[in-house]
Amino acid sequence: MNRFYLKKKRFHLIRESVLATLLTLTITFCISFIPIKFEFARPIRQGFLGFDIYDLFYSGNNLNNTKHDPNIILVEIADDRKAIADQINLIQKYAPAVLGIDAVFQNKGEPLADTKLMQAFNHSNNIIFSSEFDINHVTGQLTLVRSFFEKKNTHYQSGFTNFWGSPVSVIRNYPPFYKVGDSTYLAFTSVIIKKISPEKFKKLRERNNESEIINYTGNLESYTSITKEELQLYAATGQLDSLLARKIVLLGYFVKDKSLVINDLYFSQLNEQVAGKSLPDMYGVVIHANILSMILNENYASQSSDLLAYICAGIIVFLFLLFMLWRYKKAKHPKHGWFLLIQSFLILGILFIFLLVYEWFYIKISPLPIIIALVLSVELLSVYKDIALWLHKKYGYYTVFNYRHIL
Amino acid sequence: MRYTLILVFFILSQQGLAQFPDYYVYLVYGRATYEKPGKKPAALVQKQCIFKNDIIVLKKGAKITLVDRDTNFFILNTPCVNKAGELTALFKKRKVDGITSKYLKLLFHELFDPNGDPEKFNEKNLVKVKGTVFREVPDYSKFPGNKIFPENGLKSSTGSITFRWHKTSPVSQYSLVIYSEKNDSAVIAVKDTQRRVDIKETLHGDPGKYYWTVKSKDDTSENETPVLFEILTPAEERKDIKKILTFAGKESLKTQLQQIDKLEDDGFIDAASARFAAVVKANPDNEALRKSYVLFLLSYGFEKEPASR
Repeated sequence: MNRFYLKKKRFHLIRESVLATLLTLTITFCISFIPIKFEFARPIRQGFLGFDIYDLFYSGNNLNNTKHDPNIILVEIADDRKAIADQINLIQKYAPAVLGIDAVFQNKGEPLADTKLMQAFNHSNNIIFSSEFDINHVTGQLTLVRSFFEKKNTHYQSGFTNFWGSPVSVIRNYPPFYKVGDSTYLAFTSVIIKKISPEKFKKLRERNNESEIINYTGNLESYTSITKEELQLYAATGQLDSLLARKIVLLGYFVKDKSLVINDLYFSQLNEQVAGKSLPDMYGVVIHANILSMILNENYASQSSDLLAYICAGIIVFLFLLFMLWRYKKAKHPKHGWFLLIQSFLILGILFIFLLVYEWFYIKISPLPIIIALVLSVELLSVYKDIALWLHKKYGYYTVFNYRHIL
Repeated sequence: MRYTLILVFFILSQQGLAQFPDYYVYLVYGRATYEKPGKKPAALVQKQCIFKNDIIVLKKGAKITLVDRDTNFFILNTPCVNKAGELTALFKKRKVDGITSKYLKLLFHELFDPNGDPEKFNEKNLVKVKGTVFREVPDYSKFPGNKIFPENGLKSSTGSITFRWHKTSPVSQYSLVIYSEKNDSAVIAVKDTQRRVDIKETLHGDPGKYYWTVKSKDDTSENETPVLFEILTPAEERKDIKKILTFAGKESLKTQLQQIDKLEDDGFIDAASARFAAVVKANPDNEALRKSYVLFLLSYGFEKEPASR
């Protein structure tokens, strides 16, 4: 009998910590199902859930970036279709590997300009066009908006340019493939990769990720960017030959050397303002360039599974609860101030460790379950105490909160 | 013996490294020149190798992209005269914090920062206008609109001027309006984006100040500001140029190019163009100079002869 009690005494702290941890994790898991879609929750979504500690890794990195990705050249798209046709004809003279056009010509325009544009397209098979998913306001269905010339019988290569998130979200992920019904649609960047490097495309496909984390290289200054005026001048002075030949040329909207214009401009993780409101900082075409750099260099970042996040949460909360229960064993009423202080330092320390893990291995572990579990653990220990005392009264459950045993 | 060989190898490798250029010219936009010690200045061109003692001169509006030995890209876009060796200091990298420093700064800012109070003005929380929104009455002479040539303030003794403008109408039907300060005016219908006009013949003009503007047939806008240009007598032009430039007999190529710049800045475009053509003719082997001249001509729209006269 004595041996049985000794064994129970020796391991009861561990047993109780495990049970309290399971209770904490269960509540944390249940909280994750609460839909935060109400209007009153908007500040929580934007101020807390919109914040990602991993943004800190990228924030401001572009400021020091003097390295260029030599494979990708950005060209500012002209203002009208005729001028765009001229740009395409000019760029094609220098035989780029791929010319990606980050613009959707949804409706027909001036016939002459359209004809000129079509002529420019028809002369080449290395042009990748853009399309975008949109919600049809009449049917409410998701539809792919393509350029007017992409009719059924013509064969143009195009990919969708949408990212994940709302217009005010920080763009952290994008879908490389998107399945609607039986059809799988390819992102704009995936089509470009498929065209120039089937092996890299295969690797992207084999990752089988519905959403890829964009591992940003830099903003506009990390790429050779050419404005429409510069394009003409570089052509006149014979500088385009070495610049465009066998390169990926992205024709899209951006503003260089001037104040940014809010058009196709997004929040990126490179934004110097990590938390709170700020100004958008990156053009869509630059985000596409970043995605292409990531795929070409196989510089992927990965999101760990939720299971791993919960396992980490389990271990950390277990150790924290073990410490608290040990304190309860030592004193009837341990000081809660210490618990809160340790809890705070633990949260800050874990966030920092996760940041380091991302810096070293490009693996993103969701810190949310751990933070919620740690925040709840002190309060939930009181709940566990009530349950344990009830079990003790009913079934003689051995617990640290039954002070008669702590002698 | 082994140490001697290592030392020799080290010295040789250092010598070899010293022969590498400091920068490679990746792109050149606008007019930029470089000068090797003891040699004539030449226009900077793509794929040029720049050594530390070379002097780079950037004109207004010019921009060059340089690549250093470590494949770092640098853009030089302010008018300057710089020794290539001194550019390293100019391109000194802006220090970006490591992840630990960033994290600690974030924590400090969010938890303790005494300057975080938005009611206290400091560099980080001072709300001010970002971007450029023009709210003053603009000086329209600085915004020529669709007009290319003659530019505002042009001075010329050539009575015949080719007016050039950007295409703003799909039908290409324009009205070219020229008038003098004495209120003599001429409206010329043009089916092109340029037209050569003999001012003296068309406006019975004497030397003096003139204005021009162009309007497309289907355009109803009224905001095109007339551009001023001045017709001088050949004697007046020579006199004015003499005031601007000092001649010392046989000028070096560098001085000649500087004189052309000065003429251009003061609106003597025809004189600058003629002088530039002469310099190019006198240096037939200087390919970079020829390219600079082409750029000069392109910037004033001298790319083709007018179809309509």
